[in-house]
Amino acid sequence: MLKELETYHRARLITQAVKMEVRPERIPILCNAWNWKYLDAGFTLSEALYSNKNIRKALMHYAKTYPTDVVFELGTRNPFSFTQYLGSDKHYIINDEIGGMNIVDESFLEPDEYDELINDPMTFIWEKFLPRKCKNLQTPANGKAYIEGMDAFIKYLLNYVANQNIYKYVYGIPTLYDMDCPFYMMNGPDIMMDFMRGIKGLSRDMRRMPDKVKAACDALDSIYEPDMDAYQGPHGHNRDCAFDGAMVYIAHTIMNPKQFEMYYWPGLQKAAEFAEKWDKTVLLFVEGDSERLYPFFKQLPKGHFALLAETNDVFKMRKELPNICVAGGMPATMLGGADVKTCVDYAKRLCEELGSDGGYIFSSDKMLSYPTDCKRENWKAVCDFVASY
Amino acid sequence: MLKLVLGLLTYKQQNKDLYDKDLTKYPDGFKTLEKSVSFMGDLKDMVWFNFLLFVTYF
Repeated sequence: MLKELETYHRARLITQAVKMEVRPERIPILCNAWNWKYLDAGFTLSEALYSNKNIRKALMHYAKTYPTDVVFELGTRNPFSFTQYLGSDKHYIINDEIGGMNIVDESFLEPDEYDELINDPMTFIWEKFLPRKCKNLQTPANGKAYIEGMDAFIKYLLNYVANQNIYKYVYGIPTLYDMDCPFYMMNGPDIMMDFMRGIKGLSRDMRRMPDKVKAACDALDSIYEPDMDAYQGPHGHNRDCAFDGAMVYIAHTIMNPKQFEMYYWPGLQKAAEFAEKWDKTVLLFVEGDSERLYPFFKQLPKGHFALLAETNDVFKMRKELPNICVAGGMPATMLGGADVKTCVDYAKRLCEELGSDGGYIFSSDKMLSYPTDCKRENWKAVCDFVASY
Repeated sequence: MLKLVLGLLTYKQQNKDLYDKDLTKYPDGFKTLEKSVSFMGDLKDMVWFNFLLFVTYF
C-alpha cells in the first residue's frame, strides 16, 4: 500500500511539472537510459535482449541503484526474445565487445509498390512486408514460426506487465504511460522510415512522390493508430502513470518544417485536441534536433505536453516554449566524459534555471545506450542531487 | 482466469496442428493466427493488436 502511494506521489510530481499550475515539491527525474541499463547491470546486450529474465534483473538493479520517478523503457525495446522465432532479429547487429548495436537501413517496400500499400495496407503488410522483414515467415509452411513467435510474444507481454507491477508495487515507480489512452506512440512517417522504407528510401520518396508517401502514412495510420474518437474516458490523468500518452518522433530528422507540417502536424494537432478535451498529459520525445519545429510546438495547449528533446539548448527552449514542460537537458557527453563535480554543477544549473518555477523534468538529453554514454558514478551523483534538490 | 492461465501455458502445444500450415495469405492466414489467441477473451484484441505492432516495429 505504501509503495502504491509512492507511485501516485511520483506520478503527481510529473503531472504537476507538465501542468505548470503549481510547482512540484521537487523536480522529477525521468530515466532515459535504454541499453545502458542492461550493460550497467553487468549483462552483455546479447545476454539481456534475448532474455526476459535478465531484463527483469537489470530493471530491478536500476530501480535499486538510482533514484528515479519514471523509467522510459521497461524491457519493451528490441524484444529479441520473441522476434528471434520470426527471424527479424537479424536486422540488428549486436557488438558485445563494445556494448553497441546497429540497425541495418533496409527497405521492405519497393517504390513501385506504394499503390499496393495504399489500396490494401493489411494485405501488403501480411503478404509482403512481414515475410521480407521476418525471414522465418518466408516459407509456405510458416505456421511454426508464427506459433512459436506468438507463444514467445505472450510471454514477453506478460513479462512487461510484470515489470510494470514490480516497479509499482516494489519500488513505487509509475508506468510511463497509460496503455488504455489512445495516443499514438509511433505514427505513419516513423513506421515508414524506421521499419518499412528506410532512411534513404523515405528521404528520396518524400521529394519524388510526396503525395504517395502521405497516402501511405495515412494507410498505415488506418491500421496502427488507436481510435481517439471511440475513447469514452475517464477524464483527467491516470494516477498510476507518469503521463497519459507517450509519442516518439524520429522521421522529422529528415524533414524540413514544410514536410513536418504535411506528415506530422495533422496527427499532433489531433493529439493536442484530445489532450485538451480529456485533460491528458503527453510526453513528446522528439529525437535529434527540433528547434526548427518550435513554431508548431508553440501552438500546443499549455499544461498538456512535456518535450524531451535530444540535441537542443534546453535553456533556449524554456524561453521559446513557455507552454511546454521541458524534459531532459543533462548532456550524455558530459555524463560519459566529465567528472562527478562537473556533472553535479551542471545538474544544479538545470534545476535552478529550469526548475525554479516548475515545468521541468530532469533527464539525460539522449537515450543512454552505449557504455561510454554515461559513467555510473556520474548518473548516480546527479540523480541523488536532483532527488534531494 | 484458470482458462486463461491454462491457455497461456499450453498455447504452443494446443496449436501444434498449425505448424505445417501455410499462413502466408491474407485474410486466411491472418485470421487463423488471430483465432489462436481467442482463448484470451477480453485481452485478445489487445494482444493481437500489439503483436501486429511489435512485429512491424521490431
